[in-house]
Amino acid sequence: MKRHEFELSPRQLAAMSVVAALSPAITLLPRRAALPGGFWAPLVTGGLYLLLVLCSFYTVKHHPKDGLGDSFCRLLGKPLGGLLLLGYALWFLVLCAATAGLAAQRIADTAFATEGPLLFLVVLLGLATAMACGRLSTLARAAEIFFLIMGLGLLLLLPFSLQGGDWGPAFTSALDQPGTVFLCGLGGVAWTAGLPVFVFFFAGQAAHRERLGRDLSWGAAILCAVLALVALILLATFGPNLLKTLDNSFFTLVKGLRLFGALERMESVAVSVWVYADFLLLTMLLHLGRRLLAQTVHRENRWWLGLVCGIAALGLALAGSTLDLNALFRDVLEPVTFWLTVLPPPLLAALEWLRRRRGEKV
Amino acid sequence: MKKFLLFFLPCALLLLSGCGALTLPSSRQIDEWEVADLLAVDFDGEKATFTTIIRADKEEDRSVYQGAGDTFEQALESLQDVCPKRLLLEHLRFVLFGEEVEAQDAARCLEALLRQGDVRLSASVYQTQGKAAPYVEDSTVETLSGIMDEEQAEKKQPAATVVEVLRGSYQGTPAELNVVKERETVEAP
Repeated sequence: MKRHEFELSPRQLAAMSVVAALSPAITLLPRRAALPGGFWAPLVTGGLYLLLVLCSFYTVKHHPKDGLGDSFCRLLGKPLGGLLLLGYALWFLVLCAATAGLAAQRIADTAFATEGPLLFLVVLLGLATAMACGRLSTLARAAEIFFLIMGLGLLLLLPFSLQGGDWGPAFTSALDQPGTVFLCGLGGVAWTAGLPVFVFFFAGQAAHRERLGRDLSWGAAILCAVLALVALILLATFGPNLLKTLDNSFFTLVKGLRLFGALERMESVAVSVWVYADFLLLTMLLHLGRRLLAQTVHRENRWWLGLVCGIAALGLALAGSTLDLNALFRDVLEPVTFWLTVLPPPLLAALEWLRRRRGEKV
Repeated sequence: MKKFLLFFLPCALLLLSGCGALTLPSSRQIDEWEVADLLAVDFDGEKATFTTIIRADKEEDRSVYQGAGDTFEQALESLQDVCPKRLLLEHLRFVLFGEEVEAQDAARCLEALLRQGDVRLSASVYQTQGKAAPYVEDSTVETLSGIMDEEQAEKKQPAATVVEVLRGSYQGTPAELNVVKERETVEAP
């Protein structure tokens, strides 16, 4: 194996999972969490995702060159594992296409109201494809920089978003419907907080693997905390009933922000910062598709596989450009991604534990 | 060469998102926009009228446009048609509703503006005595702003903002709007 193939650090992977998850979360989460006490949703589901991260870590930690994809083949057998990996690869391409559509629509709606999303869709996927043809370590380093930029962006925007909110009901109604909040959290965070699990497909390239579980757990915790804070601010500002009806509530909120009377139209800042998250997520999904396709057909992970994935995702995105993306995410993509995220880690961890207990050489 | 292309191409693509007239078909320069400062809305149950003041450096340069329609959306469209340049309502500081506009209609109007991306959440909302249009036709934003500040000081409660009106409407607890004094008072120095 070449030297650069072990260049990923656990911290880079954690940064990647957090930044990438913020891209769809900012559009999808507010609507799902639009009920009294909905801001608890990311927090109550955070525990579940920490468990999934730890299960994934347990599966790969004793096999230094293995990512989650290798564990599928190792523990389930090559035919079934390969089939599942192919399914995951195709699913990542579908997710990439749909997420690109969602991001392009968001950019068009919030910053360029008179434009259609097509141009943004093509540019986003074009750039992501160019990046996906390159090395994963480049993306991982970019993720660390994007994490800092987005952190600074949120630090700048969120304190000014606190004014004008109706905080009383947002807090007092917090525990009215704990069951509903948990279920809505599962739906709303399924796709976004599942990304720390998907990052384990890259675990085979990570150095200092003993820190992988810890760093990715911190990543999932930070992500859930940020999402809970954003949901709380949105609930206090708009109230659950109005929030449910808004398409891009976070950007509507920041549109009204003024910094000391000197800076206005903060939605442009927010949109430009969020482009980093979109770009990172799309590139990550293409890299995942490329890697799993290569594993499935037992070929070397060559650059042109990234190009094939990019073209396929663009084709899917253009073919589905007339669909209602919000409904598609709610009814199809989120539930399927939820089960794809939740089922494999405990299953693989249990199989790994059983094999280790029996002392089988795996 | 490869490194140069890798740097240059993303930069060129980033320029696509700029305001240049050559990149996005409907992009405009700043002098092609009319920035509205204040919007007055009258609605008698059948016909909506939008009147707006356009921001200007000098008093004599200010212009007032009016559009009407059966619905708020139609009135907004009509206002856009009347205006010779592209009308930008995103920098509105005040929205005035006439006395006859009921609370739920005011909320409906603000929601129509919000969904078109045309209003900021922090703009102040007032109700006038009588129709709102005359306040706009004969006053400057500064005059109105002064009067409204006095009103606020007397009542000791800040004016409701767009988001407060909308949130109240959706929660079934309509926000109480501060009422601006009669037009005669507005005209007084």
